[in-house]
Amino acid sequence: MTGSGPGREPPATNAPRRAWVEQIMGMPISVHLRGNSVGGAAAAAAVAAVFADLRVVDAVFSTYRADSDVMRLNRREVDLAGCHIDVGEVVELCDLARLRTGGVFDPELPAPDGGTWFDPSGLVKGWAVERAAAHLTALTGPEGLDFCLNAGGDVIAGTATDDSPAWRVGIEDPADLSRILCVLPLRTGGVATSGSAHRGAHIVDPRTGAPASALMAATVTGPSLMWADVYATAAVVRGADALEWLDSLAGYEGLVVSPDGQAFATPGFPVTPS
Amino acid sequence: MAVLHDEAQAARSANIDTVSGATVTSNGYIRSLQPAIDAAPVARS
Repeated sequence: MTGSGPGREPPATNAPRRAWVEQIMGMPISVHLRGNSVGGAAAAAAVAAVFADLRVVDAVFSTYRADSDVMRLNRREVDLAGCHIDVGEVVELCDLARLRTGGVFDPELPAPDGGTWFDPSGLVKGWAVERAAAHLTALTGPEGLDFCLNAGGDVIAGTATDDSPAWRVGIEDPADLSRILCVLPLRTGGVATSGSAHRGAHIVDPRTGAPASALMAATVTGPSLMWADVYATAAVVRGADALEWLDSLAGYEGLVVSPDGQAFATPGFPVTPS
Repeated sequence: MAVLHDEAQAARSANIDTVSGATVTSNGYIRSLQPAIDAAPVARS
């Protein structure tokens, strides 16, 4: 696929917009709304509900908080039945993610003391954001609002109608964080990017316990942000065969960036002339 | 598989709404593109 030359599109819509940002779960959570009622009470309440939901998730799942349910579970201070009910749901989803990724996604990771501990963070982020976005989906519909929710680089969107302009999602160039590789048009569903650009080799191959470094980054888009996130993380670990594997996933498209900064996309990966 | 030529360009010229990148932590937020995008929504009524 060759891109077109650089062009500047005029703003696709003159509809009012408003943005909210909060730092939750150790990352910036941005909500952008677009439409005539962005200043209304329903919009404000929906955005507040999104942030409130994510704060609860942080309290339950954060591996940076000693008192989270997950960390108490790991210290054997509580069993699964004693945890917030969402922990059980996440455990089941992690089992499914392990199956769907051939074991590449595995929340049982080597612990610093030599044992293993349960760290579902790679799934929790997309799962939590997708669930919280339901408050924003409720704002869509005729005469409603378009929304775009970005949680630390995971993006989920919805539009009032199918005729609404798509949100323009820039895919970060992992070799130069001030630049983008391409623009992905998004009306519904999610986009997730995984990689080592921001924090060094923080992705571990559960099959070896060693840092995975085969790909600089992988971006996956599809109907579920949670699965896009799981597949993007698995793709980075898989490395060499990641693109073929992503192409085999029905309903999901992907883009991978090799260690030398080259980008390769599945044939159906949506790209807008930037 | 499709190869994207190096079309990498400055985000500012691409009129984008948001950026998807590997997890931006709160510490990394300041250096990323997203703060500029979050701070500059167009509001016309």
